[in-house]
Amino acid sequence: MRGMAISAALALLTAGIAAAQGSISGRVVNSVTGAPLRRAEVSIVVDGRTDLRGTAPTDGDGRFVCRALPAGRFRLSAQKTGYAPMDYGATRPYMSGKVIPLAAGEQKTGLIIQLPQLGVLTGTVSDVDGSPAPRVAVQALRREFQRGKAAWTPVGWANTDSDGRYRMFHMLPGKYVLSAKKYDQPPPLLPSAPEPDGQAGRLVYATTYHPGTLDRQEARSVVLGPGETVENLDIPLLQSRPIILEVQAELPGAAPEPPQPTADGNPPETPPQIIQQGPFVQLNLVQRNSNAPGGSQFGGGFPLGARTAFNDLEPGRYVLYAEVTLDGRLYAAREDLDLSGGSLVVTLRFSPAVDLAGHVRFEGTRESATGSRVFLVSGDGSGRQGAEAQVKADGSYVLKNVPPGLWDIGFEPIPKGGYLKSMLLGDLDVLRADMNVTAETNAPLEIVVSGAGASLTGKVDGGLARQVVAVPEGELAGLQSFYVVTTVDEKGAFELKAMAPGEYRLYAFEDLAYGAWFDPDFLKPYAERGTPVELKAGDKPEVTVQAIGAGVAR
Amino acid sequence: MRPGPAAGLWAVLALLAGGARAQVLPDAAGATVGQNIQPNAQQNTDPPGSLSGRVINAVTGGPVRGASVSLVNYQRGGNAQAATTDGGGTFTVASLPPGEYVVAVNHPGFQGILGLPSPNQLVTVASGQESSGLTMRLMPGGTLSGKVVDDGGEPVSGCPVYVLGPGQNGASAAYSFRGSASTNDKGEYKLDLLTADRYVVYARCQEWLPVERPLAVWRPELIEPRESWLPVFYPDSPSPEGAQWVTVLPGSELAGIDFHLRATSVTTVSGTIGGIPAGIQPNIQLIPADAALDAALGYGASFDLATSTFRFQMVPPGSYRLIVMTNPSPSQTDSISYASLFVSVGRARPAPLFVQMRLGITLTGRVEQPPSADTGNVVMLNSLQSPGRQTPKAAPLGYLHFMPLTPSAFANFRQVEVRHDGTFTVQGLTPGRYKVVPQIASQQPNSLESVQFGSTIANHGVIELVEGASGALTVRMGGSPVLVGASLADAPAGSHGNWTVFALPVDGSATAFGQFMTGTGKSGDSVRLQNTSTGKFAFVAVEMMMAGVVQIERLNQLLRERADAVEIVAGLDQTVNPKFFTNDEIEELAMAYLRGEAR
Repeated sequence: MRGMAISAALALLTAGIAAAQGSISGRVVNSVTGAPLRRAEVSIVVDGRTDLRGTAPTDGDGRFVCRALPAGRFRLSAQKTGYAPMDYGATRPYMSGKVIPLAAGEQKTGLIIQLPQLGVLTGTVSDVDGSPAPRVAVQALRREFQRGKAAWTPVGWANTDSDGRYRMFHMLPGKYVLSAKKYDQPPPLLPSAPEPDGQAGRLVYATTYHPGTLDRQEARSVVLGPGETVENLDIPLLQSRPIILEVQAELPGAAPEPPQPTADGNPPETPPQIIQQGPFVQLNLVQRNSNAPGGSQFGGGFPLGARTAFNDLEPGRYVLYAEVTLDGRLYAAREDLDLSGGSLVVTLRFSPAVDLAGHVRFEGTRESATGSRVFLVSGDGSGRQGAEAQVKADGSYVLKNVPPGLWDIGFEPIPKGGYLKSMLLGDLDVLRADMNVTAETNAPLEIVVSGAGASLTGKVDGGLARQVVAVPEGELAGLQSFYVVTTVDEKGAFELKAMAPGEYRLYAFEDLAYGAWFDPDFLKPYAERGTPVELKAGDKPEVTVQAIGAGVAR
Repeated sequence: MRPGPAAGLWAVLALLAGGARAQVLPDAAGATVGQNIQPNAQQNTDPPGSLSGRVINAVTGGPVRGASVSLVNYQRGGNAQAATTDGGGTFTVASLPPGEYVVAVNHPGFQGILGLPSPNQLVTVASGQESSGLTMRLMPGGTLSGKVVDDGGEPVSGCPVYVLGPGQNGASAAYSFRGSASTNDKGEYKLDLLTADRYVVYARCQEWLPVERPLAVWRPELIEPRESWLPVFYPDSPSPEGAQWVTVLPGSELAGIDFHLRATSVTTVSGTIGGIPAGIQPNIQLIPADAALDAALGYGASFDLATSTFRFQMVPPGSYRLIVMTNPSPSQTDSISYASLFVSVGRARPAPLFVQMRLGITLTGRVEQPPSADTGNVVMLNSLQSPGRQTPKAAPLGYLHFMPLTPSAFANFRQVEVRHDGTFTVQGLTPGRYKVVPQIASQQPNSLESVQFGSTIANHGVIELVEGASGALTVRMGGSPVLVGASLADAPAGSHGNWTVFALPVDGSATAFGQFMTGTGKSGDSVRLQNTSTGKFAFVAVEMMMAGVVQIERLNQLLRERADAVEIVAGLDQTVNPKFFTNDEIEELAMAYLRGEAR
């Protein structure tokens, strides 16, 4: 298939060489100051064919020329360190822009691509006694949608210097809150033994939000414009009472029946049980949306049967997960913890990891399963990767050693024009509902991929719009993977392809920031101006959508 | 009579003074590190005393907050008592059993000139009394900052700036990596907590600069960077030869170390490594061949474990040496393999290379001791005994050290155990010149008489190994004992009066593994030196609380250059007059070196 695409492309190019005398030229400038940008990279692609691509640099005046172009429809984009990448004709980063039609031999000039400069958040972190706090991890969080829920997601990191100052640069325009946390030396990477009593009154550093609160609700948000520097985002570190989390581990059936001599007098087989110097338990405590570089992982381990403790935890939400291998078999345990204070003991209950087996079936396509893969990503916010399996020629696959827990299923590649039709774990529709794997999970995971997605063509009416967002409704409502965004061409026409059949509402916006559509509160005011459609496989309706002007969609 | 320091304390002192690298060995009959001598009842019943003091910045005189202070009992050794200074730089340690204590102070922001340890102090804590007024000085480091701009004067962000110091052990590398910082959006960088020292600073921005690529089928795996920045060694040289040494003085804030980048065409150097076990990640470096072959200047590669292929991107035109070596794990020296290849890089991408690894060189041989040496009486140094090898029958005779000498592509230091019968097998050696240093422990101090490789007698114990070398190595120890005494009669007045004498090999070969001929004593004493061996040495005496100074190669060099060299031979009982250096003199020497007055 890939070979075919390349030879077709080569044919196109070869045919085009004689006529490849066209060019597109223009300038790349700073969107705010209009200053020319030197050494920006302009990329040109053939519309709908991202595998046909060229690049050109800009000179000292920000000028670029894409030469030796055949007639066709092109898209241009530009990027440069310190600036957000932009498509030609787009108003926001990461949104699609306009198509540039080029006739044979045409020299198109004067295109301007405006890049928003990335911004800077800077301030000072001070210690509890007011002195500057060096080497403190500062984090910028932005409200993003994960699994349909808004969450403050870390998107920027910096460390304070010896004067307690931090400078977080190359930040996209947007709204942020800032937090700081000081890790005492050495950082608490390894769980230690429980601390003796008598630590009452002790305080540990806690994640502190600008302008000086432990409560994210009270954090002051900062709005950063293109190329702006927001200063004096100071954070006075605060402390909280440490939470002590003791962890112990046991296996299921750890209190077995007393061994009985068997009839033939041989000693009985002993089931796995807790032993004092047991196998090593790998332990991970992940603080959600935390402040540590790389996502606040407290890793470590202890012998099964022993105890360990995290002594200096701050309040917050955590995921504790552990794995141990016994007799060649993987056991896993997982706890969601919402810690607010005091000390507590968690007993990890291990269950054996399971093998998830199933089939991938293709419908309405000649594609075969060969070369495709099924993989798991943790749905608990820890971001850890799960099992991965190659699909065999007969469509079968086995995901080995899947620890119990919440897992999102991935499949790739999806054939062109196709969609993931269904994923069933036994009777449970895990395409639309969460897949919670337990030790008892033994149903097959059956995946159906359809090559015949639904599509529609449409027109924007009543004004200018650049993007159309298809928001899933009905039984698909709120499922992030079913949102689709497409661009509107210069005639106000648009097309949606490879859609999963179902109910959608279409919104046409002139100006929209990437990802804004995941926020139900953002879309609510426009519900009446959205156009409901129901898509069926193989159907190709024509719809008209009302434009929502730039003035309102901010 | 005043008791001497417990031998175990020795190692503790050295560690306090010289940092983690310090390995000053106790005398041969010494007790193990940290071993406690049974305290007598008197010490248990005397009411404790306390000690308080202040830590100040040696440059500004201001208080140092957050310094860690540790106290070790001078006579008994044992665990340290610790305290941290408050905002006023003061500390207090209460409930101290009466006695003499070695007080050491540390702070990450105060590393001393050239890493010179801050002198420990010996204080007496009296029973039931509060001792106060102790002032400890800490020498601050400095900062170094500047800006990186491109050929259009525009700031370059995310550009790493590297700081190299002079080679740490003098023998195998011209430079040592001391730190790096990345530029911010304004092209600015700042390195703080830098030791006061002399540095080479360079910027190597491996930025993928845009170039024209005609519209074509885009195969990401074939798209390689074609333009990037030339490395710049401050002030404006593409190679370290043109670099200017930059001096960071204690407490100074050196600004304006700026770099102006020039664009260069670059290419990708890739290839396959043959003869390497699957799944093994070798250490691969592409080192500019016109510089001293120094790993601190090498480019790092991406490596694909599945196919054993490597890839260096953004390599400017020039001559390079490709150095490959499997990780020298001490327990698996038999699997060490290596390769070295000259690579000439032009503007066009060179054809993929094929690099065949060779198994490391194995040498076998024996250590010959004269018939008079009674090997039945061999006693090991406690500190040389590794755990799990305590069976008396298996006790090794000692060790042989193979020290790589400049220029060394691999910097591959090896140490091998000499078996009880004198035989040894050293595996995993790479081509290059090595100095063979025996460390044979027996009751009688003995000396190296000769090293013979094949049929050649090695000059000063230096052997040269070429690719695929083989042959037997014979290390002959001399029959006569090496006896050296040092006179402390000429010790300067006014110091504490406790001295450590070191024999510093004039070729600088001791700092690589920390084995010194040494002895301790008080002003006026005659001192018998331990760990004796033959060779040419400069004899120095430093104040005991500053013993770690000899671990720092350049200070070692500054000291040994100022003392007369003495040839130590076997069979004589030589008495030497060491050159004395007080703490203040050492500090002045280091400062003079920094200012460029002493080389």
